[in-house]
Amino acid sequence: MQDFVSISLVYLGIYALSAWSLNLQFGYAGIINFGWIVFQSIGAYFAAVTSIGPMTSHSYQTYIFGSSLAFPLPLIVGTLSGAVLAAILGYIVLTRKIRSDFVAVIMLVVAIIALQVVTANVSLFNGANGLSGIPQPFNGVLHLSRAGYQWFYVGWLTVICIIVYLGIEWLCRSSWGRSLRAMREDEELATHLGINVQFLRLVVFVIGGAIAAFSGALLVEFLGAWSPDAWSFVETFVVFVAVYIGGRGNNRGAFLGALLVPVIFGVFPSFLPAFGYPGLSSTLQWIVIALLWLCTFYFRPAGVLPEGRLIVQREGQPDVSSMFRRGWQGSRKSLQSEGR
Amino acid sequence: MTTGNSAPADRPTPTLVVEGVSFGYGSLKIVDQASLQVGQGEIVVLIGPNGAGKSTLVKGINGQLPLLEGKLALNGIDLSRTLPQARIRHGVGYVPQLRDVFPTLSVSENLEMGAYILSKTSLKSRTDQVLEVFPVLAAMRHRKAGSLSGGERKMLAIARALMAEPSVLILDEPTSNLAPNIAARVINEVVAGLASTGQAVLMIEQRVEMALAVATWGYVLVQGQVRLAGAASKLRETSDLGSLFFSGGAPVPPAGN
Amino acid sequence: MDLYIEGIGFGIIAAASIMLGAMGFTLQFGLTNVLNIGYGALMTFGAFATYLLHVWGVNVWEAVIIGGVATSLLTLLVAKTVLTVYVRKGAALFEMAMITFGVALILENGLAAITHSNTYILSMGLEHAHTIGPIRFTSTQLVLVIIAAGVFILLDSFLHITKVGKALRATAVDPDLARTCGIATNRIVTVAWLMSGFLCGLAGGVFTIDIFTVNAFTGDSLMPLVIVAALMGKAGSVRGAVLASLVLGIVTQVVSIAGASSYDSVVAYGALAVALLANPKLLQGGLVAERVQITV
Repeated sequence: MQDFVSISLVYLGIYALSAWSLNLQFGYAGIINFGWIVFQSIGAYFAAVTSIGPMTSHSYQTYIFGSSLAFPLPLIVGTLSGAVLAAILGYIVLTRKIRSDFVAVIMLVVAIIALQVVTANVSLFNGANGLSGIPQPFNGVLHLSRAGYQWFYVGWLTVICIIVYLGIEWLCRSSWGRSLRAMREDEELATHLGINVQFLRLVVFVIGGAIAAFSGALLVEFLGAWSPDAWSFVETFVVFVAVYIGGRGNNRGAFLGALLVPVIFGVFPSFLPAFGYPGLSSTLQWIVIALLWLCTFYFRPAGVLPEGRLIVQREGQPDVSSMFRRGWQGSRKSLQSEGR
Repeated sequence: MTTGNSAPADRPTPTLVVEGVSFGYGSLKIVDQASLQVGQGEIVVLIGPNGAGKSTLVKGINGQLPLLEGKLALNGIDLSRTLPQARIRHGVGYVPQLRDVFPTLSVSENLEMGAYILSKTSLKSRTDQVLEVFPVLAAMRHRKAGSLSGGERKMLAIARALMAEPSVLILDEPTSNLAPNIAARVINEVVAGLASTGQAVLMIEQRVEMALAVATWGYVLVQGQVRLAGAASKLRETSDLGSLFFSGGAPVPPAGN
Repeated sequence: MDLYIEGIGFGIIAAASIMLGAMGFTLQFGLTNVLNIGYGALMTFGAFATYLLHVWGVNVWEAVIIGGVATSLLTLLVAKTVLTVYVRKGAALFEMAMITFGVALILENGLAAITHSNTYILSMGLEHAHTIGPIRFTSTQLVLVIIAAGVFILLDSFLHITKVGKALRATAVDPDLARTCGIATNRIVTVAWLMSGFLCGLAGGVFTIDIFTVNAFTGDSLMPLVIVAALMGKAGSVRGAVLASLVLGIVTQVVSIAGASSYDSVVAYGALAVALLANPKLLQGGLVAERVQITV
């Protein structure tokens, strides 16, 4: 019984980091990253191959690199790989004006291609079988039982989450952060105020990618294994749902959303009696998550903890952004064409 | 000259009557209790500075925005609550300023869409009738509308609106993207020609001089309100029209009739 | 060289199911602007309908058509109930995409729960093969190709010859102007959903006959290529979708036959990524989420 509490808490930490990273990319950089999972994966893979040690003659898996870097280097390498990937993709997407669902599709396509390439090319990360036998940090030093190590990891993640949370909150409350919020509400105004919108968005996207990769590295060091099964679109969907349910654009909300995920996937099924055919419960979990998503978006599209809106108003003029949100399709365009 | 909507005896009975209409979003009124009327054979121009609400007023007449107050009627029928796709059946012929044709459809297909509410049998004869007014288009029946030049496109847009034999033809800045010589042809030949056959025309125009030269009556809209109305000849003579455009403030006292 | 011609042959057969799906997808996407990621689930539904009817003794080709009709009704139901609700709430374009994905999850996992995630075999019985040069195919495969080609000709004629078809194209280009012409755009959209659903169901049925298996996630393996093909053509362009489907079908099969089968999808998705980025229609929208342009 103890086991599942500690494991759930570990997943809470991982999903909190995931939700914060997605929140940065989506809520602040405004990029609909339907390929989010690829960032978590790249962090996991690079952390894995830099700590797993070289291939030996009787290795059953093939991969690149294969160093045995000491802690915390694998984590750093993993995090950086996510940052680099985000820089490349972010640059491609941000230098053109693309409609939001096309951005989503492009990111999704990138994730699918990555999945195909990794699965097909066994020499990269051992293909469909994935990597296993990744050493867990400090295990050799601490000599804990399995349960004990899980609790250790909970503590480790708690520290990390606090640091990351404070870091992100500081970022959002700084003048940089205020610029970000300004540009979210009204991109044109932000540009006129002299803020380099595209560059800021790219930076935020990269930070988000780095944190996502960081979460992957942490997860792989806990699990000891990683394979393509772990990175389909549903994973991205789950994190999106978590962010939406918790409340977009704010980090406490994202944490709340992250809480829901292990509850549904961890706590909920372990209290159900085993029924139906094997595999039924995981099928039902997906239905529950989908229903949760549809209901949340219907009843509280802003999420449980929406942030207070920062209304940027020009003196004497009506609040254009809120009008837009109220759904007048042509209002913005026709107002502009009327010279306002 | 008047600021109101009284119908002097020298104007024909109105086809389109717009009384005290307001359009806008919530508490923000873009058009504020405006009134106008258009009768057969008249060319009525709607002029005013940018942002005055002229396009909004005309889109509202076409049903694309909900009416906040007031009423509008065409041929005596109240259209205040009518759905946009139903207005053409009552005789509203609207030509938007920018997206005025279906670019991926051919010229004849565009005309066919203009005649959507007509029966199949009348389509052919009506097409021939309209193409007599615009012989240029007859030669280009199968070309995609998107490949037409600016002037040809506007002709097609107007032809499309004429297919359904509208009681009132509403043009939103028909010359906005056209070179001056083409603009002159559209206004002096096409629009004036249509009015001379009895068509009621309501036209928004920024080329004030050109428009007032062919128009019979005019309304000046400033910040959503009709500030001035009168015969086009009288408006042409008003020297402080420009200050009215840019003042946006106190209404200009009537210049004496 | 023969190998490549064989690949082209397989490609044309593969393109049959892709084409049907892509035509349906592009119709619906062109008119409603909703990126329906749930399309795969609807194809699965069509596949299952075909399978069940066949098991119950209906002639397999009639089963495909009836399956198509059933899917069209389901599609309309989903569109008018679920999707409309969220459009009225002011959902952004990508949020609508996520909504459709949520619906798909429910449909497919519901199906999986009912079928216990089993895979079923659709047997067409033993058939003998025909040959044209190096290309070998069965009568069934020939019929699949004929169905796809026939449907395309019918659809294209409908869109270019009939009044409703032209109204559909007009509404896809500019719904405001269409209403100004008196076109009842809400009815046109209903027609689009029905037609797109029918094509979707047909695609599912044809696909399942081609691969002779069906399970709760069958549509998911076809859907990515369908979406790629539809988006590679212009949104709403049926001819573009068909051409893209042929290209995709042939390219993936030739790549597969040339020995790099695991990379066939990479080529397809790479083509999509390039097509999307190079597409001038992409240059719209900005940071603020756009609204769906039409009510569904």
